[in-house]
Amino acid sequence: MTQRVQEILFACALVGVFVVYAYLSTNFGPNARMIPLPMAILGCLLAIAQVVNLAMDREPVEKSVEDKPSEFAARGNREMFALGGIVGMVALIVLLGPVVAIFIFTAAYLFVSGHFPLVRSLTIATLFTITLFLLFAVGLQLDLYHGILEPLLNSAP
Amino acid sequence: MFDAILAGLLALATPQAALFMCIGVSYGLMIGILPGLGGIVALSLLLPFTYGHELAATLALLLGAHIATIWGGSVTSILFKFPGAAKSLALVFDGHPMAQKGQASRALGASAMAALLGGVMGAVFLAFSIPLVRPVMLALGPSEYLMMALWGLTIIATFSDGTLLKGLVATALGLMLAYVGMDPVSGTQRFWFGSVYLLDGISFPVAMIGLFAVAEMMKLYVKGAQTADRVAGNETSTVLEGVRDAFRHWWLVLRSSLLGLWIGVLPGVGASVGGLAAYAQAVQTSKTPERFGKGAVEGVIAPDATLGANEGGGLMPTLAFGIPGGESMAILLVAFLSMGIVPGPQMLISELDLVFSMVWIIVIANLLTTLVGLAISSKLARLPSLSPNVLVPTVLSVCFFGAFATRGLLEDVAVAALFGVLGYFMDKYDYSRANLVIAMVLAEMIERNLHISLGLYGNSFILTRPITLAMFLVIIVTTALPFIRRARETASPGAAS
Repeated sequence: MTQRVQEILFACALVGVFVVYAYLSTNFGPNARMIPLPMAILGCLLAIAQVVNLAMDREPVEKSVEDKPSEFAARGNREMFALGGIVGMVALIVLLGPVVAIFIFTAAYLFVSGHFPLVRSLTIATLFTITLFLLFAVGLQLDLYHGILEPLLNSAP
Repeated sequence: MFDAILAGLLALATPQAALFMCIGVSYGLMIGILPGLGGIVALSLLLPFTYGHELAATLALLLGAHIATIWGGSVTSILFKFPGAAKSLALVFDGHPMAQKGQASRALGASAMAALLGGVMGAVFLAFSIPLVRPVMLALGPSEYLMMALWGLTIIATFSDGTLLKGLVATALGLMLAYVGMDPVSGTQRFWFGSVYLLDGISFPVAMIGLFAVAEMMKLYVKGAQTADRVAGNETSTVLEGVRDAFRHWWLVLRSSLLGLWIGVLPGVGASVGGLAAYAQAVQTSKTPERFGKGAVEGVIAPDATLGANEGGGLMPTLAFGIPGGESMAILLVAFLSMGIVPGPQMLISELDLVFSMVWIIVIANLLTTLVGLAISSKLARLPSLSPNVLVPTVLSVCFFGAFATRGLLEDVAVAALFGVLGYFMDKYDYSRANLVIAMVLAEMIERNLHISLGLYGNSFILTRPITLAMFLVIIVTTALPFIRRARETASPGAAS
């Protein structure tokens, strides 16, 4: 998929978002839709204009990456990994709570990236997690979330 | 009045007040650097500690922390390209490019000194100008506040990244995102998709953490390079250079400070508008505007001077009328009431020494923050050259913890992640994230004041209110200027070169 096609898809997604907003706004009362409805319609028209510009090649697209197909493909792979990493971290937080999730994510990242050996990765992750815990849970008195799996882990023999 | 000035200073000359000031400044710096946690969080968490201590010491703690968070927010904007708070957004445009060019120390030094100079001017203004500003404040109504907000939106046209069309799309998207939740005017539940979480709307600090911090870490991972294109130890600037820059551009500092004072005085406008307005006026008044966005030190000095002065300006309506000048002032107001201080005109007669204590606190806190900031700037400047393998997991962890910490809601973590993905692709395809964020900040102000203006003054309120009409014309002129300038340059490229 070329850079231009990706941009067109992104612009189409924005058109879709504005269409949804405009449709939902029609269900509101006159005061509630006074600004959202015109803004959604305007946003939709602007996004459509952007799609047309891209489709008719009127707008420059970053060429330097497309000229090097291997780099372009490599960037695509790294983007998928980045997205997966973000999703993974959020999943860890939901399942285990932020403290445990941060320890696991940091240690795994430092080790898998090859930056530090395993023991050092675990040590740094531990110190970092303790620092954040002291800062947020103790210093800021934040009520921590312990994760969906906490009851299961607590009841395990 | 001189007696009150002296009494205000002497009230702070106690060991407890000095200690509380130092604690407040250190705490505020730390909180300010953490993404998503700004002055509001710092003050909220300090409130329980304000009971049972002497008045001057408590004020030193609260105001000292509040002042220090401002510069803390600037640090993350400059070093990591994500604003520590909404008001620090403008620092990203030129502060981060300076860091990328190996001038992080200079940027931090200029930032700290500009904030100090602006803060001192704000304190002096607070001390002497209440009788002068009062009639102006009372003359402004909702239609004028609407024009202020629209002016903030039109500033977007001045410095859109990418094409204007993409900038406008980003602006429209920002407005729509801001209208998720309960409509404050009619109480209608809008765009909530049946989710109780969305009824409260999208948290602005969480959106910012995602759009800038998470997105930048994704970008860093994908690019696989250091944020600064240099090796650690190859810093080409010094903190002192930045300090000299702030004095060299004294006229810009003065103009920006006056703008910050004006923005701070107007209740409910917020410092976010001030920083952006200061940046825009720095661009518009520069003889070489093409340098902005690529590491112009003026792009750091102007917003920081405004933010520094904003605090003194914000205290004025809070003390004189009991009307908070911004969100942080609202919390200070709560603290004042709990300490037995009743803001209002009477305060300026019978409690003048207390008012001047606060003026002195602003001056001393700014001085302390600047001294600490200058001392640690050269160490902080090395942070961006850390390996991305260290930066990515640590910064992401702090960001998601910070997102959770804003309201203690797990959903905020997911929202931060979603905005992170959105921010990454917006940056990749050249849609301005700054436009989106500005629109989110101003959306509620625009809607609320539009409804009130229509209700009070009718459909032709722009024409019937002279101040509103004048502001509307100013908006048209300042919006058209960049386009006229660009059209002239396009029409006569020979003359331009």
